[in-house]
Amino acid sequence: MEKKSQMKMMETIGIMFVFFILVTFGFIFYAKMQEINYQSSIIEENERKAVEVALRASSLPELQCSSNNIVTDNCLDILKIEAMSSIIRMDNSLQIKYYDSFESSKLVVKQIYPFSNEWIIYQRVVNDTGSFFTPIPISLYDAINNKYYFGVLEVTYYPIR
Amino acid sequence: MGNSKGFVEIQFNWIFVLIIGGIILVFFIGIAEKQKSVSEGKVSIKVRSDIKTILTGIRASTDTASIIDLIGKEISYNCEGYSVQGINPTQVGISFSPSKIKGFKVMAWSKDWSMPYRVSNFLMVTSPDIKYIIIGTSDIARELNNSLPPNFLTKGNNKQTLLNKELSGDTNDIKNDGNYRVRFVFFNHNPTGSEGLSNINSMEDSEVSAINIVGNSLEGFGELKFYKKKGNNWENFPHSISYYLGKESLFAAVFTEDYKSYNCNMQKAFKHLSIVSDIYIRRTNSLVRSYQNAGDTTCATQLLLSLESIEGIKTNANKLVNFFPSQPEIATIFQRASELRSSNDQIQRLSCSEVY
Repeated sequence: MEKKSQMKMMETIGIMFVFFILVTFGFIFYAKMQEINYQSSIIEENERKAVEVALRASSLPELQCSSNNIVTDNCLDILKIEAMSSIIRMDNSLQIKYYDSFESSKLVVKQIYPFSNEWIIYQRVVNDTGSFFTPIPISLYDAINNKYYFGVLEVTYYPIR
Repeated sequence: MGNSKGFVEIQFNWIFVLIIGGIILVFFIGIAEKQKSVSEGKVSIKVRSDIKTILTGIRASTDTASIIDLIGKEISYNCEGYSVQGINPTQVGISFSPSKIKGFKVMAWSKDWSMPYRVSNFLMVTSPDIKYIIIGTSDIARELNNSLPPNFLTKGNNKQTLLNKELSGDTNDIKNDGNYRVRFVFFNHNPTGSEGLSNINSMEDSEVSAINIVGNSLEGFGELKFYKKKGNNWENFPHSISYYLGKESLFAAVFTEDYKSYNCNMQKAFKHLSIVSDIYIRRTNSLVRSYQNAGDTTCATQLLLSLESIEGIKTNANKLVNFFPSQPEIATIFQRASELRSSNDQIQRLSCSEVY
């Protein structure tokens, strides 16, 4: 009689064991799926942030060309670029101020035609383990010679992990 | 004896099943609860992130009013930014809003603030469920009503409320339309007693606020006085006198019910004005040098005159970064901006390179 009860007990424990193994497998599978979803949402979020930074950079009044306060689309003023680049380089508090807008990123204006030139507007890279690169074709206005050149605004966003 | 043993065994089995069943049930309920709070947090973070992306897009383009669909989450706003369910606030630059935005739609309006050169885009965010009542029949009241975004946005056959605004000549005509917040806009008139409150007395004090704009034109500068409902009467916020400079900052004051948030964002705007002015000072100096090197004294002299105005704007903007609201600096910036505008027109007439 006692042996029969022991058998029954073993049987119940066996069922419980199998049940918990199945539950554990279920959880492992669920956790894996969640991790995959999390990874893809992180990538999506970073891509979105990279676009946001590029959008903010291309619409900066500090850099845009204007005539009597009427803004010329997709045009950056070389004298403003030089001024902003040196102001940010000299004043660390401005790097912190612009961090709200550009976060961990690097903004470079490259003149391509008729000759090459390059200005680093903002550079604050917190984590250099991966990046999202967005080139924006622009025209560059030289107010001294009243001429337009061709260039690219390169926005590199470094996601913070 | 055997029967009693069998009875104990059956009892034990049931107790065992109950305990284990209970543990399993509690375990799964715990997981479900945890999952619920995690997904609610995820939704709030997603909404917050979506808000930031959408508002960044709207802010990048000037003079744009749009409707954003939300999922009914309440958005809180203060100088730190916008937050959903107390999650870290998100900054979208210089923006002005009521302290709480409820409902399934949000109206966002971007206007560029120029002094006289473009400084930044001001973003105004509110709910179509908040009612804005402009009191008065004066030209300035009409001008404000016409300058704000329209009441409705029509896309094909779809007509939706963009901004719930109303121009009212008489404070006795005001009805309670069931809006969760009401904002009164007075011109050159301090609301006293229960003026305009007779039909909305049932609303909570925190849901009704007013602003008195003391000025004769939307352009230019003027004084702002912030009020809130207290019981059946209006009460002036202590030390709540502030100032607007340019119509965009006046619009901003209409949408910001709390003067502290308004002042804080205006301080950010003046910080930005100081940086932009610094860029224009350097740019103008480069232009002056190039004209001097080329022997063109006419353009160089005119640009040097402009330079004085920009330096004046920068000096006063720097003071306002810490001491806004202060009327003398606001008046000086306005005057310097007007001088610079005339000077830039003259530069344009002389075919020299414009300052801005």
